[in-house]
Amino acid sequence: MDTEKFRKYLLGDLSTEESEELEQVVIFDEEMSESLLEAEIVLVEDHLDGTLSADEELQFTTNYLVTPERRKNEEFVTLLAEYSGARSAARPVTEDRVKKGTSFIHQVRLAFFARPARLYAVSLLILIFAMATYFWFRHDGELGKLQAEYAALNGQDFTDLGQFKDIGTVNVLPGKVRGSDSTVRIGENTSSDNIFVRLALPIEFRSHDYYDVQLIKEKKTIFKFESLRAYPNDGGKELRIILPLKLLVKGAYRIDASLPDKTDSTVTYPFTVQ
Amino acid sequence: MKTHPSLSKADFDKLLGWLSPDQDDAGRKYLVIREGLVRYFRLKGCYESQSLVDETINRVAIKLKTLEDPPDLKPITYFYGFAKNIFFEFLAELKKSPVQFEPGFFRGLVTGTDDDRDKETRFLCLDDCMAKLKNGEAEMVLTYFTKDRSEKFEARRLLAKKLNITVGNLHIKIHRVKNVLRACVEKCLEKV
Repeated sequence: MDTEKFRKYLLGDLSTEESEELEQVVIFDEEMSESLLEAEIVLVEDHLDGTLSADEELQFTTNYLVTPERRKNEEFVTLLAEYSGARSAARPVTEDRVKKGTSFIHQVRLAFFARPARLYAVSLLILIFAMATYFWFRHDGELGKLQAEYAALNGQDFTDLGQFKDIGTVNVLPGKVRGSDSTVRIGENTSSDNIFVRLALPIEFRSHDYYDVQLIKEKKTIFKFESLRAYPNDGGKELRIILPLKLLVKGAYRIDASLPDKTDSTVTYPFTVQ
Repeated sequence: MKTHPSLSKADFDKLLGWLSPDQDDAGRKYLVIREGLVRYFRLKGCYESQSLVDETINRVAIKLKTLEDPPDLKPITYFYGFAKNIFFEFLAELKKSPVQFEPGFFRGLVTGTDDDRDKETRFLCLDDCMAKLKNGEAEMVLTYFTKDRSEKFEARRLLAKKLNITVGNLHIKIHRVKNVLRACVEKCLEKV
């Protein structure tokens, strides 16, 4: 198969029949698969170099850049080109420079140059500790009120999913499912103060109707709900929870769902907020 | 996208039985089909190709359970048909998801800006990750990704000649190193 045909395939410029014929050959032929990969690499470079025709550019954006993986790859290639330009011009790659990359000074530079606020945080340590103590006591009271408010909210009937159409929704899988470590990106354009979380229950838990749920960050329980109801969905059953967005700052979280009075029967849902 | 639970042993045995009456032969065919499916989803630009492959296999097995007679199609073709549908469902999910799961690492972090400080952070991470490469790969990457378009092709031609490979093979080689670098940089940016 020729390079031109691969290029047209990637741009979505082949008929459905031709595309399917190509796919069925390529996916079981490693050599052909590498040739297609080569064509893809060249296509991405041509796009970044601005040498695609107007039609090809439209096809590239509409038909090729449709998955997050492809967009990330394109961004990374751009970054590498900029990086190579910056680093090659400044100094040639030598063994010394490669060694410098892992030196202590470089690590310190990486840690502090990227976030200068860390330097100020170290300098103001005593004052911050005192302020943190004050705010901790004040926050604990506020958190208690928020907890009560959301416990009442989550006690309502969530059967009708239409009521959440204006709220950002997150689907989180149990921790044992491959690829379940979800990353949640809280968009700046979200107008609601809340986020709607759907937790798919594994098969062995679907016979139960109520669960105690805890939202945990860094081994500390932030929120706790008792006897949350499980709802039927297409795949089985799920828990549905409304959480305040202001609780979800950047970091690693998990939600533990356990049967009431049986903490040894727990499903864990890990996720990361960015 | 609707997903199905993992296969039971009985379902999996039935699937293998359909591939071949001989157990060893069935096992080999299963692995070939599985590799082909991984290749298909990666070809389509899917990040979570393993879970999509698993879902394809699960659905084929579930369908086989409902059929009295096995389908009158080559297994490869049958699996391919299911994989296509799963890919379309995956795309549809991407389009309707109100909260995006993709991290915009390389065009700036949460704010989506691309100011000098963010770029320098990414460059520092790249310094770190490039230092971990071996066998002259760091220099290879710097040469390959020369920003200047007029120099790029000649630089790559010479690099391929130096490595005694074709330019095509050089593209593939660099692609693999690039993927390693990307994973490293993503980890570094998460820590920063």
